[in-house]
Amino acid sequence: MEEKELIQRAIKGNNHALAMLFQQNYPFLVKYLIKVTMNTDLAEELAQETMAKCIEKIHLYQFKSKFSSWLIAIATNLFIDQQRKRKREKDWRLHEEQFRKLKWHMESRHEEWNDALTALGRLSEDVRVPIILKHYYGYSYEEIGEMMRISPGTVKSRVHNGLISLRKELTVRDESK
Amino acid sequence: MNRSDLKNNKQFSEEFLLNEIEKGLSSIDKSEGVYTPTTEWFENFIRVEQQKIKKKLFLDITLFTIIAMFILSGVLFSLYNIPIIFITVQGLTALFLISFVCLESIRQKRGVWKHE
Repeated sequence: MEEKELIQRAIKGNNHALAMLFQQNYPFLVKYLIKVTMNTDLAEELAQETMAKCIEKIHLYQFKSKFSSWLIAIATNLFIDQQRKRKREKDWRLHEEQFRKLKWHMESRHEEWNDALTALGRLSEDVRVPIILKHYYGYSYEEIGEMMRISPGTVKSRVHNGLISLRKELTVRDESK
Repeated sequence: MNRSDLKNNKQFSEEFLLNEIEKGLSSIDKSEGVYTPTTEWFENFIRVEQQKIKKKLFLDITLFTIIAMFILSGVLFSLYNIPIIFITVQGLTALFLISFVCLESIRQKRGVWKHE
């Protein structure tokens, strides 16, 4: 069954169609969230919250973008809202621990973990998210602006400044080697 | 071209950086660590969430009705028993709304000027 047909059925209240949509998009959603959160536990938690939000808002889906892009937009907003709430009680040690856990998890599976990924993990989420959406998923500044509820100009400057910070960080790492 | 050349050449340096980012992030996509539950699990998840939404809606409507009845009874009581309080409250509400609208429009105009 095609995605469009599944969405139409899901909007009409067919839970099986919605479950199939979730199942098809779940790995994509979790992997996106791992990239932006750098934390596998938080990524799975946010993926469930995203699906819960999606159940509530499925009737508002307008077929303007792919279903996966719609899920990403919801997930991004949930992540940003959650980070704002947690900012005051942010435990850097815990963040560092989760970050190392992901690195260890990747390396134990013989997957490449390069300096760029480490530097990306050290950036704030306000900067990391637009860089990933722009330069990995290929969304436009306008689309990212809509997803993050900020202007395209702000997205552009965050991506630009983020890349400068990354370049500096990598240069320092390179020189210290 | 070695790494020091990359640092000196800004254009290539950006290309190199983006390539490194892509390589790193695609390794997360390649990893097989994500377990996808069965369709039944997702159906059950949807059922549970729909029940939560219904429960929340019921609580919201109940809360709204209780607050609305409380306010309405206060307004009606003041209207029939202490009209002076009713008139004062109405006057203050109108005053508050007018000043709020005025302040908001001034704030918006200032915002437009700043951006120009």
